[in-house]
Amino acid sequence: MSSSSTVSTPEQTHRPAQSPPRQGGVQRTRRWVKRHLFPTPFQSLLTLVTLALLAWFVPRALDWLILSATFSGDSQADCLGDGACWLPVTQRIELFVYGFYPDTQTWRVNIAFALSAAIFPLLYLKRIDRRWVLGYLVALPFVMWWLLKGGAGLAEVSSTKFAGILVTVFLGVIGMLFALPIGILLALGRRSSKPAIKLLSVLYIELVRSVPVITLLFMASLMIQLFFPEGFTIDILLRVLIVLIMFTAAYMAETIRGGLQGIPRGQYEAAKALGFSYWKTMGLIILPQVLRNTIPPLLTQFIGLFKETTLVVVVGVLDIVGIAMSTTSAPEWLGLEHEVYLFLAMFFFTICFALSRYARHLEKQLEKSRS
Amino acid sequence: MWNNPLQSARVLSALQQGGILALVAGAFYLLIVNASANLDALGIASGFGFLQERAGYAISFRLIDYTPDDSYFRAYLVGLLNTLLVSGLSITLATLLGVFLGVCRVSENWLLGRISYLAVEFLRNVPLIVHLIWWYGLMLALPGVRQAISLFDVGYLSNRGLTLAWASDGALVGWGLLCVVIGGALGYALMARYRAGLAWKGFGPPVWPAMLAGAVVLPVIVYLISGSHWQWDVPVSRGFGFSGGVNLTPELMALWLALSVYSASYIAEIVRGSIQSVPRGQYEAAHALGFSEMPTMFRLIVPQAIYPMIPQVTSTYLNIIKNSSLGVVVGYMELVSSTGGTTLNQTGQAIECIALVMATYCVFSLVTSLLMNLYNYRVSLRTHG
Repeated sequence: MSSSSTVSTPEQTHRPAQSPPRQGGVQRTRRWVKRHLFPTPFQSLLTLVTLALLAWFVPRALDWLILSATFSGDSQADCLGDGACWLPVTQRIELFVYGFYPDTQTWRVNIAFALSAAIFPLLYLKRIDRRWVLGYLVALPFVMWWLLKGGAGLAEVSSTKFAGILVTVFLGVIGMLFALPIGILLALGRRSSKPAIKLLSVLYIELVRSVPVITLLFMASLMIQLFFPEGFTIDILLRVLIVLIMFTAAYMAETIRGGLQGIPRGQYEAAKALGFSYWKTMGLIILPQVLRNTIPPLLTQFIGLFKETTLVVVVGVLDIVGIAMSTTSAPEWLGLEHEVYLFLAMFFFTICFALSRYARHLEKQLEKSRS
Repeated sequence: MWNNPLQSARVLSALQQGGILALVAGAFYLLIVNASANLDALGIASGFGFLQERAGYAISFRLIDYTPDDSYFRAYLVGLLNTLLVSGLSITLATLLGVFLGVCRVSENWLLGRISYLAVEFLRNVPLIVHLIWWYGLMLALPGVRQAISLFDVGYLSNRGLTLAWASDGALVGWGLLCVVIGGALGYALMARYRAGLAWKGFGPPVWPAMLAGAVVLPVIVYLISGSHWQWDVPVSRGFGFSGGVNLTPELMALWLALSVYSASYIAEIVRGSIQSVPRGQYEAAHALGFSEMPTMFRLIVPQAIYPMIPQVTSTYLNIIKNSSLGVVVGYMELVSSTGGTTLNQTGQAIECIALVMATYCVFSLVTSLLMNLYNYRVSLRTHG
């Protein structure tokens, strides 16, 4: 801990230690090791204890995870080693990814995944006209919907066949893209000079933000049906999608509001001087700047939504967590919770961590472009 | 003449707002008409009268007396207290873990910093529900009661959860805690008075040892004066279960641990951000004044880092309370699984039950934001006035 070492120079003491030098002489490396690993007796002890723990833990973990693990086979009986038995994952990987989607149609899911993944590099490329990016984002949920559900030339697939990563991505991506316009409207509403609109927006945002998502999902699964005329039913996947959209929109409104507050007054005044109407000011001057500045926090919000989609398992929608839970309770894979849940954890960690690093990178670039 | 365009704009705006309000009201009206028609068809009477009826379901973990013969309202109270209990436990553990991870993260020790970085990123990028089902699986995989893991013979860890020695009279625990709090407050007050009398403000002995001493000494004094009523009720293995002590069910343990490690990663990030947000000039100034390391950290940096930390930590705490609703996944009977789950399923009063649960969470967040506003007001007085 930094509190028990001597003050050398402030920057080195209280920033997290910098990485070791990439290149440079033995001397440099030695100095670095001394400063960052063995500066004081207490720190040295700490380093040694940590190293000892790592030396004990890492080989065992590697052995269990990979070296003694079983990757191929048909049933649990094939898991002979002491290591992890990855068969429930490898044997069921299609179920995990595509759910019950018809085998012959899985190419549609693959295209939908690829189209979703393409959003992220698009945010990065500066050469592309922003209007194209916006157009892509607007069109994507509809294209995905058409690809996955079918109709208009494609065979129709019932949403009861949706499960696994397919559901997770479907809810995450479509939820996010539909929440964005609603979030923008709510943020504008909250800053509106019209009291009625402001009141409604504030009430909505604060109400949704103060209750757990699960209660909203319960509402979707148990309550919404009561509010519609008899015989009118919406399928459960659509209902949870609507809940996730409404929920994300409330949080997003706050992010966008933060962005709106960051726009200098002069921008509004200039627009007014040019005789722009409210919607023209917002649409052509303010919102493009806000959206550019809020890409990193919006990405963070997407990570949150992506994790939040797992809660749909509570109302009986089989997302990747649902498939994992049904796998661990299947008689042929009993007792393999650790492997299945670890796979689940790694799936979310890989995607969310990569996205959060990406968001951080975009944020740094924005800061650079501003200064 | 000049007024005309202004007035027409005003009229237009009023019309617009009126239109939107009418639209919202109309939509609500339509929904209510539909709902009442549907409820009539199902034969469900609306209103909160059902809360007085017999609940008829058992709740294994509870803080107050409850039997299936009690009312739905009593079941709601049990759920409410269970929510508060698991939130309180998780807030405590998450804070301890989070501060530890956060401090490791800003540590000068490169190895420690890297490891805690990885740990924090792993914990926060895995959804809470995955943490929860993993911990729950772990709890259920513990050995049975006969082979329970003994924790110094005052507690046992088994697939029935954690069974701990407890006061034989539960009310005494409350009095004991009260003594601890009053003792701590007394210690704080005495030291604050002493420090106020010093010529060099802010350079007296630290307050926390006095608080700690007060919190330890007062309960001991009360214990001695009152004639030692305190008796430990140590759990004893009885074949299929334990008798005596207090039992934290596997559901509670899993939810507690999952919420704690997940939220700890958020608190660690807050701690790191706040410590790093203190300007470097502060370190340099302390160095120039000849402060050594410990006072720099605890007199200068931590007090400055705490103020920006508090609003963020509060919102994390509020998230812990909201996330405790995941108890429904493992069957821990908190607000959502008692009133929003079993009660709702038995009575069919979906609207009332969900409204009750939501209203309760709204109260939590209103109280929290009220406290936050009070706090911000006080801080702004202190820094500007």
